[in-house]
Amino acid sequence: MRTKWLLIALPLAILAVLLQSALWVPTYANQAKGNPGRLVTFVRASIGDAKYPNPVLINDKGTSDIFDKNVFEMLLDTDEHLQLAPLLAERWETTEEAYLAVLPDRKLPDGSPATTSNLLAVITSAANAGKLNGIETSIQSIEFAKSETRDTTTTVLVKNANGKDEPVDVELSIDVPERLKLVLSSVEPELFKRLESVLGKSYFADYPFENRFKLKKPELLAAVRPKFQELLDVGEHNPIITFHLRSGVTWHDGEPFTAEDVKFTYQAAIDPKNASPRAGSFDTIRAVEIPDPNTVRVIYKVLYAEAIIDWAGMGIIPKHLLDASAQAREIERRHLSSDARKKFSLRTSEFNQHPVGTGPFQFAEWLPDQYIRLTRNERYWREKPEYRDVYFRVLPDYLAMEVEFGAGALDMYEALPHQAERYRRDPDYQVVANKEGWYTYIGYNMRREPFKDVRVRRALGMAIDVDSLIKYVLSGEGNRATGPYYSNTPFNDPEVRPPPYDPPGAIALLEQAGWHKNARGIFEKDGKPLAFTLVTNAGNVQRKATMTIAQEAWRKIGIDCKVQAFEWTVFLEEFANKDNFDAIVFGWVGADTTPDRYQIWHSSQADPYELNFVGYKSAEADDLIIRIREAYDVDEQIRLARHLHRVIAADQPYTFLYEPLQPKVFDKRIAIIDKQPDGRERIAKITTPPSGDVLHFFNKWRKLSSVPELAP
Amino acid sequence: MTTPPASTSRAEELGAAETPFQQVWRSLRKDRLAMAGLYVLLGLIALALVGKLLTEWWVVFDPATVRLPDKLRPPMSHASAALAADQVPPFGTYFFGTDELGRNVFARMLQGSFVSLSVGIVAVSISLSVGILIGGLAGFYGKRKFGFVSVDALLMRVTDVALCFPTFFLILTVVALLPPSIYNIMIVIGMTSWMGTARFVRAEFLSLRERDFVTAAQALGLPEWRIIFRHMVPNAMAPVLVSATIDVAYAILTESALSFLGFGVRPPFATWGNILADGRGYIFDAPWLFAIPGTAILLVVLAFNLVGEGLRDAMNPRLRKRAS
Amino acid sequence: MWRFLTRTILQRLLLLVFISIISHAVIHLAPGQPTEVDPMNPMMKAQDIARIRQAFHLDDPFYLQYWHWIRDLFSGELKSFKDGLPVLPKIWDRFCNSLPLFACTTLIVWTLSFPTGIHAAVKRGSRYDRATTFIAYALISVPGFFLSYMLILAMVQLFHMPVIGLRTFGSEGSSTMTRVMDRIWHLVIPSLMAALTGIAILSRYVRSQMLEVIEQDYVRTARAKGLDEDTVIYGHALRNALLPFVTMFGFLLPGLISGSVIFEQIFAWPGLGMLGYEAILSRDFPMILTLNFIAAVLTLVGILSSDILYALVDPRIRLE
Repeated sequence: MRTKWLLIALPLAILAVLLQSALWVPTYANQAKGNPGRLVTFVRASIGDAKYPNPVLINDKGTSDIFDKNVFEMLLDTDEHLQLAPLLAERWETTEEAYLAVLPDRKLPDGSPATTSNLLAVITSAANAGKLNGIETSIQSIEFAKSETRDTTTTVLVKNANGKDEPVDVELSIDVPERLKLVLSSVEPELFKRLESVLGKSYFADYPFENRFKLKKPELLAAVRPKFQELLDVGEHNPIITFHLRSGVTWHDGEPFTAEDVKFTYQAAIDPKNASPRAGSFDTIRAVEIPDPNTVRVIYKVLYAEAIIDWAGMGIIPKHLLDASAQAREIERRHLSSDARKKFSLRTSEFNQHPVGTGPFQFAEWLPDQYIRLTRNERYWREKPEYRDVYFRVLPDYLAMEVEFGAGALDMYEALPHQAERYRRDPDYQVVANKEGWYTYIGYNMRREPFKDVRVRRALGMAIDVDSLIKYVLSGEGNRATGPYYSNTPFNDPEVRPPPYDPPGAIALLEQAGWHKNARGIFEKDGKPLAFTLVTNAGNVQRKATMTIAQEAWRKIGIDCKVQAFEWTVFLEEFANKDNFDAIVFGWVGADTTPDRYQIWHSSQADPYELNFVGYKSAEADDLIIRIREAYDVDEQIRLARHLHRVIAADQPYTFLYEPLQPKVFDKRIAIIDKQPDGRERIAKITTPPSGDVLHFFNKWRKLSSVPELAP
Repeated sequence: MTTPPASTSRAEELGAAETPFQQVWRSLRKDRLAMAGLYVLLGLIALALVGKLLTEWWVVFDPATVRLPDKLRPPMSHASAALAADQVPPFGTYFFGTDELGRNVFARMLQGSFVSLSVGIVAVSISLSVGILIGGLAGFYGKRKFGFVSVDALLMRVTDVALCFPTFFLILTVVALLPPSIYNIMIVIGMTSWMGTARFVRAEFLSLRERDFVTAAQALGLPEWRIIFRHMVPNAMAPVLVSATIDVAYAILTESALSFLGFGVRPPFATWGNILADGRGYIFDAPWLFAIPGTAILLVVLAFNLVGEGLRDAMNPRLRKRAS
Repeated sequence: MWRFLTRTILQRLLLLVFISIISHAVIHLAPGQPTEVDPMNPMMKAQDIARIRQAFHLDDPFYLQYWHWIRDLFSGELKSFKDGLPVLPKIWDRFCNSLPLFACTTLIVWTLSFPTGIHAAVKRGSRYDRATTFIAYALISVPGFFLSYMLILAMVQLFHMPVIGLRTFGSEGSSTMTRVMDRIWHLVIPSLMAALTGIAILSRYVRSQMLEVIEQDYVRTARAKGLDEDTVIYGHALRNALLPFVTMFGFLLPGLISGSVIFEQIFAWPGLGMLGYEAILSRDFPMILTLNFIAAVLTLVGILSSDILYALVDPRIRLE
């Protein structure tokens, strides 16, 4: 009898105890009740977790969003207009030291041998006569540089026993001849062209490289030969960036920030042991010098106009926690095995579990795949942020974010277009869209038929109604993409028009290209139907929709297209990296501050694992890409970039589709607090700045206890 | 007692009331839930065939047509006037509404019914074949030596290894690693669920081997394959069939769970599982995208389960006696 | 007894080795690379990718990779590809998160199933019996995430209540009681959802066990003695019907890892299932292999313990 009642009462009691907990849980409306700290806590969410919170190792946008600029800081920042602005460096200037080899066995135009003194005389007289087209004004001095032996290493790819490319570091010493050093007040890309007109073309031709190189392993000579000219040339540009650092900045642990940290950051990035994804950015650096604790001189080997942008993306790491002696202490403390000691690098350092930077927030805790918490840096050198705690949560999908947002356990998230559309109608929330550099496209593998013909590529683009795709799939949260540059940057040529939506025109174009419809209504040429497979990665709703819409649009005009979505890593490994696909729906993100498009569009970047995976090859584009890299003048860069934009748009290697806006939803109570010089606070609505980054003024955001009255 | 192959005519002469099949059928018909399940199943199979016909061979309901202006329409709504003539759905109505691209959900559900059912049935056929093969070999040839271990020990250790893999986790790993294709999913589900059948069949074979009719057949010098397939397999089939019916239900659920995690059958195939998984993102905007395939899966799985349980009860003589 | 134990344990260890070799083979034969080798990053060059592959031993022959894994696993130096953190502490953390969910689910299942099942058996054929039978089948047949999302939809739309994750974020400054209750609430919803199928299966099983027992002679004898029905059912029949359930405890163990993938995913519960799922997504080979290995260990321990339990409670069975 008692057993019976126990059996019934026990589960009921347990359920009652469990379910009454519902009464205690904060809901959206009363999230701050009995918990004033809620107003100074900001909760964000993303789908994936962060990896390696060390700027030298950061490799993905998610980690960068959390740590770059919040915990770490760069020397330079980009402001709300996408212009470079000072951050850890108060100011900076770009100068140049150019070197000209003295080759006494060559003849100058007047017939005299090119000795040091003759060269100096010729150049000086040309400069004084104004024969250098304006460059003479930037020449500060001309000095004599002794011959020297330069020991260096370069990395080449060599096939190993398995037939796989393996990077090998080649040590070599270069016998550098006597040279003239021209100190210039600005970078002059045209310098040697001008000198050529004074010294004669033959002076710069056929440099005798071979006997000036000594390799430690002579058998690698063949592999290094293509790099000779890069390593030593008759004329050598050495652009120099000098950063004047802000004083009084400290790391979160109280140590002062100095030029040593900048130099160490550079060394860590190029150290092969760290396998830093940023190593490539610093390839062009010859040396980093620190004349005093507040000055950094970065000397480049070649002309590279993007250099300054690289520094605006590179967070500085603390030397005192990561250098060789700090590493030795950590190895000692953790009692690592000998194998682990050998492999020890920034990747294995415990710094990755509690990073230290100079930024407005300092790292507090990290539970992998759950959340990262940052707290306000009370010693921040600028105005301190309004929020005390910031959580970056990891949630598995957009639905979970929506659910948490609706319950008040999330302050902001990047909503999908259809969710944003609903929130826009809801008076409790505000929606502000990011306009970051990002576009989605359909890329055609130009190594394969039928995509070798520009008319086919154009016709494929004309069959798709991109505008209604933006209207319905993106709920209007997107702009039309027309070429390789984002529409919020000056590099984008606003005159370029995308191919019009015109299915009959597409059919006409295909017929013009020699295709005709067969009995099944499919286009055919030489007995081969116009059939191919379109692939993308699974899990991205918009790409999947785009793929389906393209397939349907092509089917209507008589193209047989199959579609497949693959899991991300399979997609990368089997298709994108091996250039093994017909057509691909994909997107490029980032790099909105730089006009450099070398890795995506240059013809040398079309091998497996490289990013020009559609195999785009155009001599005109190649030339423009190189010239953009060497153009130090902003207007010149913009002119060249717009030209490149037009060239690529005309070739249609991609069907450029759309630049999605990223709507961010948050509570109406969150606003920007502007502290006026007289100490009063002005409350402003959060808007999208011209650069497109809604979070640009995040440090001024505050959650008010009620919805503020704002001037319209 | 020895039962010669042509036993039915003799059995009738002897006036034995009914064949085992008739007995099972009679008692199954009394089980109202199981019969309801059976009707639903038959209806679904018919629907799947009609669906295949109407969406692929003689296209009345086109699951692929994209109608962006008509996205996320609720069930039973009418097509908008803006559509081109070839885009208007049959009867101008979306019976089950439209999805985020304006595709007709009714047409997609029709197409999906065939794919979903075939995923379940093919997967279970695979698991049955493997299970019967391994279980049969172990049961019949178990005592033979293969080197220093007996066939039985070897096969049962293989079964143990397979049993110790965490099934769902294994399916997930393999499906995530293999190139995504509907056949891989069928094979993986099949290859991870044969262990129960193998154990069943082995146990049945071990006991059947010792039964008189098998001994007699061996004494008559009948060839081994004939003994196995003519006499033993049919006798071991009853419990296997019951568990197979329930396994189909399980396979369909597994497919929907895989779809939910993003590893299910990929486009262009529509299955109920991936319609459900895709609809999840829109539960606040278009709940029918989630409710319709969810209910459909519930119905078909429920039907398989009810029929399976009904069969089990009907085949269990002790329960049958008690029920009557 | 001891001879049996040593023999089975040795056998099981051998099985484990096979399992680990097979899972290794499965993973390395498949396409896809760890995502840390991310070539979509415009800053990554072919030589950098090759360097990372080298560091992770990705180009070594199969047996060497297997050896590296075994050695690192037992020396505790096995690191995740994904974030470079040691694998075992990470698994332990997640285990501690999964445990409450697992315990709560088990508690709900085991307390609720018995009264439901027994009552159905006692009232066999009644409207209650038929209704619970049908509901049980429906619960077994419904895709788990379908019901959960329906519930989430209701919770959020009607009450604006948080249901996802371990706790409500932003409530750190509330009173201790509120925070404790908040944690319980976040535990209740997923464990209820995960328990539904369990309740359905177990209550059906209880019902059929009770039916078997009720027909036995000793129950009839008890009735004949004139004992009242409740004493007969709960005093005599139930005790004997309980026997087979003891062994089921053993089979619960492996559910810790694989049973909860879906519910942990829906409710963003950072447990073992989610850890495994994310490891699979990012091709975190060391993590996948270790989890698989642990799951196999749990299964083997489960089978072994259920064998032992059975022998302990049922004197007719001897372990030999």
